[in-house]
Amino acid sequence: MSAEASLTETASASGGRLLIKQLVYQQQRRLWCSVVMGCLATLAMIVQWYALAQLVYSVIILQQPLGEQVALIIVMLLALVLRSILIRAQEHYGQLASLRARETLRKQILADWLQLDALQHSQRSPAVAASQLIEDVEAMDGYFARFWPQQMLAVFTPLLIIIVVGYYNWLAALFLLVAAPLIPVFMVLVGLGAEGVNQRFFKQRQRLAGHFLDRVKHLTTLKLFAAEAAALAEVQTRSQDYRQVVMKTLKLAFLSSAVLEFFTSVAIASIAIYIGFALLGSINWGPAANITLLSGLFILLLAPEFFQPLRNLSQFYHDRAAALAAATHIASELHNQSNKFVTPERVPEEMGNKALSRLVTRDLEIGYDDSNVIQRLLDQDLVMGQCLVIRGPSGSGKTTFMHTLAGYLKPLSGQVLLNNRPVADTAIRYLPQRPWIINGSWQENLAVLAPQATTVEMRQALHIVGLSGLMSSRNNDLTSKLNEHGEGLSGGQLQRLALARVLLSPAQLVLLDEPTASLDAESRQYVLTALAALKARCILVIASHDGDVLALADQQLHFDSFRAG
Amino acid sequence: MRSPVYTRSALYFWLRKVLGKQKKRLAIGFLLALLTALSAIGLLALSGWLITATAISGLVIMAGGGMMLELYRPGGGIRLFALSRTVGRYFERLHNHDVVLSAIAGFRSSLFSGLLGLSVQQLRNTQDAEWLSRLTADLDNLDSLLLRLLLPPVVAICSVLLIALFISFFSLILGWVSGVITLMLGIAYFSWFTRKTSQLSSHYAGQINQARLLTIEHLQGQLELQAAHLHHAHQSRSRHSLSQIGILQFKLNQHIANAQLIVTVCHGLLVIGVAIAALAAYQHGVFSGSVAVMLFLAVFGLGELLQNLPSQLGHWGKTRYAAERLQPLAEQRATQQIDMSAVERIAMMLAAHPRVSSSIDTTIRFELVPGQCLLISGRSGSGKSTLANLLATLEIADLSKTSYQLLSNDMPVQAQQIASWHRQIAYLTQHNSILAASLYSNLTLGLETIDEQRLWQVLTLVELEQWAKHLPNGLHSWLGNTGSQLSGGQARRVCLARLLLKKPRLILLDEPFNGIDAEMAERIWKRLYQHWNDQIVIVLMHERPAYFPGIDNQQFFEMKLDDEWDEAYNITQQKRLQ
Repeated sequence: MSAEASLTETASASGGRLLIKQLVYQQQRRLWCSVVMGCLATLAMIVQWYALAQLVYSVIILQQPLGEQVALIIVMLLALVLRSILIRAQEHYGQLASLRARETLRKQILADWLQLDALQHSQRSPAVAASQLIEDVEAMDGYFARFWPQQMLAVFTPLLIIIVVGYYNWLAALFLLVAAPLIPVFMVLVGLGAEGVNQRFFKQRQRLAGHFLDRVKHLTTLKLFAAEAAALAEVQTRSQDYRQVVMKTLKLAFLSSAVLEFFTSVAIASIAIYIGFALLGSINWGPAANITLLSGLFILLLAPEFFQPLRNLSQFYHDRAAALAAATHIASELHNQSNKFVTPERVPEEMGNKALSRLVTRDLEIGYDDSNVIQRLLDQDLVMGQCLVIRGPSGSGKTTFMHTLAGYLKPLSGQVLLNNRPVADTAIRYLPQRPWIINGSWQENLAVLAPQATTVEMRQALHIVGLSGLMSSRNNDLTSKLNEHGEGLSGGQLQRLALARVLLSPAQLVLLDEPTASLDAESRQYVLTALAALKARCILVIASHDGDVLALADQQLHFDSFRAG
Repeated sequence: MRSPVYTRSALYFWLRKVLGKQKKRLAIGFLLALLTALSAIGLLALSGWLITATAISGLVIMAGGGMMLELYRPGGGIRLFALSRTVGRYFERLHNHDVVLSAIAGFRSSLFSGLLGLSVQQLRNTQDAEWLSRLTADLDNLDSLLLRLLLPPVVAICSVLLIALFISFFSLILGWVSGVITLMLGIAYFSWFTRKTSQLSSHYAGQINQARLLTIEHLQGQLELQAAHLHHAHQSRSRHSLSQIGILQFKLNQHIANAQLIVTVCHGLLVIGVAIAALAAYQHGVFSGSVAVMLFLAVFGLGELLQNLPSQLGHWGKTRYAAERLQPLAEQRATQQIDMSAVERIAMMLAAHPRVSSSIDTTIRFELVPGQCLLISGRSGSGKSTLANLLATLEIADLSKTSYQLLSNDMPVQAQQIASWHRQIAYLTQHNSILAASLYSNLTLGLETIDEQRLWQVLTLVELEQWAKHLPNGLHSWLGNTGSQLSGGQARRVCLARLLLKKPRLILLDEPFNGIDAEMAERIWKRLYQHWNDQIVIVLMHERPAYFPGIDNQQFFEMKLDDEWDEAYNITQQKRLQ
């Protein structure tokens, strides 16, 4: 079983790798630009240090006056400025690649969301989905902006340096090569170590964060059971335990970078001492005889630069781990689109021919899967101006029926047709039990589902649902925020606002789920008036046990809690 | 926007928490970091000195002159620096990470104790996933405080000072001039940079929240948007907000990259400047050529420290933002609690509560004494759970809209008595609350003395005894989302068992048998009900089960929270005494 679990784990991890690979492929031009800039910067750096070494050599060994070295100083300054600008360009392209990669990924996720139907959306936590779209995508930044270009530069920069050093002194070049035995091998070693540690560290950290969040989530329970002190002590010991475990892992992790540091230091030290003895004339074999202060100082200045890209790479390693974790997460969600909801092209809402609007259901069986048919229905036939009311205890399938009518749920058998076409082909209006209210003004809340409505129409609709008085008492009229000065709207008022939105739209079919449930007497009255006004203009389907709503019905359906099948 | 005075103190608030406890360890960490930095600089400077000195004496020897150059001491110095740099770096990282982890452990517990001080009313917001993920993100961001914001600038400043001091041994003017210029420029530039990026990263964090809210709104509206075929159109709103995130982040990174460009150029100029000055000084015979090379190489070695500063200080804004948001939570202090007498009688009155539909047009009242049981029934959405939360003081009624009174022994239950009230009641909430902990810890939550025999008794009462015995680790098996999965019915019964171990005066059960099949529910109810002679019991269910006591039972009452509320349901003193 655990083998199976790890198999799916690797499968999803490879999904993340594939996703990153695709993004890298799309951004390869910018990424390679970044690498090229980095290599050019290395060349500028080599010129800069050569000029400096030359300057020192001319002044100290050749005893030339400093005043004659202006050309050298200018070359040095130019190389310095050029190098800095090239590094800046390197970062610019990396960041640009990262920006575009993240934009592409977000577009991909959003496009994926458009493929999901509303019920699939409602099964996920919106907060979790949003953090995937925002935080997870942001977590990819470091990989494109830093890690990918750096992993190429970690090969090219040392290569360029070793060629230059080798030209002056092959033995010193050999020192550098020995210190970093076969750079790729070394990189893999560092990489593997860092990856393993990163994963363990990540897990530990998640475990600790998980524990902390779990206790915060259950604070109410902790208070109800007077267990606050014990929980606090537990949080403290957990954090301390975590510290000890992490320190153990870090000891190993830092050792691998200490090895890198050690090689750097030893290489610089031995090159310095070798050059020193060679200059002194104590070493007479190999290329030592040809060494001068010029080449010696030059090689000494280049030695730290040889190791710098590798050290940067190991610093950026967590970027890779973070990106991989995020990509794996995203990829696993992106693959969850097995049953695609075919979103029709936006059909312009026809205004004419409304008299012909007709809703027909045939041999309908509704439910979430074949083994559990929630209701079998008698055939319905409704034309514009008619109202169908569905009654029944909770759990009897009223909302399921609404979802089927709206086209979110495929009927288990039979069909629902609006004007002889599937309902999903036409824009309709659906008002769930808890209306959807956005954090914005009155106008924005109306316009979000009735984009074509004018302000005059909006006022009219608000008047019908009895909210115009409340709205105009606010400072900015229609553009006031709903929760201005913390004066929120009551549940009944929100329900009326949502209904005003429905009144503003010209849909042929309107589905309302419990529009009068738990409303105060005043709100209920307004809602009933609005329903009567709405009924004349469309086909109205309402789930309700309200006696007054029932009075509107031309047809009724009663659902028993009995479950067929 | 908050005033900058406050924001500075938010970072300081958290820093003080570290400084207070770990001053000494922080000082050690700083010294180790400085040692490492200086070793790296010393390694380069001494190597430069060595090769120049050997080059000069090599020439002299070739020219036939006799010259003794002592090579072993500087060679040893180079080896020492190479070693101290590696070892120093290793221990510095180890030590400082340990300090940071301790600091974060401290942050966690002060944050948690602050959260414990929140009123239950405020705690209701903490259930929400968005709030929780923000809390973790903020805690993570506090990591930067020591390793990025505090130590690197301090180490850089000290290294600059020490190098300036070192140069002054050879040339007072050169040391002073280079030191003062570096410090002044560095401090001026980095404080400007920090202010600039901190504004940007505050915007960035704000934009992330904005985009998150828009996205959540977009996802919540899918039912209505898709029906109206408006989901494409509406998505463009969050798309715009999302692209703003990218742009702000890009701008922020550009600022950091620009700062790195400026630092690299300035440092390069400084090295060249010191090199020219040192060579000039050499030509004027102030010091030898090898010293000249050593001095500018020391300045060259400073580069590594300075070039990392922009990206480290770029975290300022994010850290400040997190510190600001967490500070009020950590500063929360629990209100002073006072005790209340043992409950002998409770009375409740509720009218015009927006979420209890029956109360909208009438008043709900009841009065109960120990030994009595009240069943409140009503369809879902009728406000049962709201009523239960009000009784448990998990929710406080808005008295400007609602009229509500809860009396215990004829005295109103006050806000300062909530802890004491919670000790006297046992409330089974509608949702199961299983902590990620062992079964044992879940059951014994808040108990002072634990009697294992009683534990098994209670498990038998809820028919979990066999299940618990067969768990892989018995009572110590791990539950919660990381542990073994419980079915809804098992979780319900674990919560019920936990509640039975408490010795309450009022038992409040919201849909106690959710997820438990009818036969088992009946067995459990009958077993439990016979023990409850000395407690007030209130049960809230969507319908009256057949096995509940009949109307002939004088101690059993029933209320229906339906749309047509009947005054006759109210349980008044007279009725109770009948």
